[in-house]
Amino acid sequence: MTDAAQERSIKLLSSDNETFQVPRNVIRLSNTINTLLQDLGLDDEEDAGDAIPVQNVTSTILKKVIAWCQHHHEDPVAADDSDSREKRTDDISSWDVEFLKVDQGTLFELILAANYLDIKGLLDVSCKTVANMIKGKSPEEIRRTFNIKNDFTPEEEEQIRKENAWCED
Amino acid sequence: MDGKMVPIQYFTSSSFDDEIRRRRRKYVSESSESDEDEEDVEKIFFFDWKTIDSPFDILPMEMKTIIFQYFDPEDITRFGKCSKSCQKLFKAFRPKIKSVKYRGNGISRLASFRNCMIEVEFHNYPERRYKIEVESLKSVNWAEIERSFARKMSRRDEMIESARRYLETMGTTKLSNPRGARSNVLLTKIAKVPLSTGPILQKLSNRRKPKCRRTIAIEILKNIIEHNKLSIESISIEASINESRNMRNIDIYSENLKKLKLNGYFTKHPQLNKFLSIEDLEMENLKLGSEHLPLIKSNKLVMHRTVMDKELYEEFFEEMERWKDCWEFERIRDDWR
Repeated sequence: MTDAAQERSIKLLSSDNETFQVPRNVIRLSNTINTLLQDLGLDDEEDAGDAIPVQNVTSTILKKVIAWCQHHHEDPVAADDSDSREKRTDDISSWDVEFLKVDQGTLFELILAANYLDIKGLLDVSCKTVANMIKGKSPEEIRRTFNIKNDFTPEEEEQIRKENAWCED
Repeated sequence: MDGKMVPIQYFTSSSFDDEIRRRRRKYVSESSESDEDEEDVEKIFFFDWKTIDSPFDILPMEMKTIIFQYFDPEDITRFGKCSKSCQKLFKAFRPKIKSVKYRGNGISRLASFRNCMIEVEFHNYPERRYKIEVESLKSVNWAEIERSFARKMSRRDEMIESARRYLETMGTTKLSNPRGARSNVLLTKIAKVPLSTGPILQKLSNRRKPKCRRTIAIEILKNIIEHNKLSIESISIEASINESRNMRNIDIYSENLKKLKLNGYFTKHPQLNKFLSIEDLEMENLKLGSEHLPLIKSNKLVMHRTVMDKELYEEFFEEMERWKDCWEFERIRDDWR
């Protein structure tokens, strides 16, 4: 990416037709947009041209995504995750913690948007947040948290309990 | 850009797109505006939270995978208990066992079973190792553990299998092996123990380590309790009688029976009467040799001459409690049922 490309803006069009002007160096965190611009040779064009439709992301969510990118666009690029690396959930920055204090709908849509736009950092941190909402909770607490309906029969429940007795607290 | 709209979906994974399309179709079919064409639907698509029970419903598998990678096996297990769909997820993500290390002494020291652990390492949780007690191994029915453990247990399994064959071919009345026959007759007639217990007991009791034999004896006694629905107290009586018989001393055994009667044990435990009478025992005692129950002989708890010894009685009771939910016992019992 050239310096000129870094400085210019990209227009994104949300699913509900709201346009967002985003600095190129901010939206670089989205691999999807990056690849798109590079593959189509649009990266060095002066004119931002038409807005890029991000059809599966609403304006509310896209606004949040852009805000996250703005805060993190200068972060050093994280090293590739190794499978053997311990997956921690207690390393979420305080800013991200505050940022992700949203209702569950927004949080899950943020995950979808982060995945769709291939923004690894946002995807990781939002998934960690969901994981933290589950970790250490009993099945009943998890059900309450995510409004999951228990559709096991008592017999099925007992069978599962037996199968997993080794893992009981 | 030549005024063209860029099809951004082109760059996304097909699975995710499929999921989105599926949900879109679902949404459209449930929407009052279902007659809109696909192009319009593209623009109006969003998640209608009123129609979604749980936010987890909207997450495609690949994103659930990302969330699950932050879980401990316990978290995955608990999550799997929430609902049937969660259980499916659990099955997809449950820990894959990488290695199992068995730390125990196998059949040669059954006595140490309750202290045996297996150490399990998971493929997808390389940083975590789990120690699983043998007692709970039964509930872990994963083939990997079973296979690994079976190798360690092959000698024991051989013994059980051999005993099973022995019983099947010989029956209980025409046993050619006098020792086996005696054990079997004794146990079945007096205590109504499941038939195969006798030979197993016999074979296992060939082990010379007293602690091992003692443990087996307790196991058999537990079996007796289970089978006859007796209290531990009455089992102690049985053991005491056996011990007397084993010593081929009709006087001691008779004396013990008298003591028991005097102490009201037969009255207190009427269930004994249905399978035990002095005459029967006398007949049995005359028929049987002295070595038919070496393990009971070796068991200090039941060797004790009198069931009234409170200290030993309590020790025995504690021992039984410790073995209450023993996996090994359950397995043996289940095998023989």
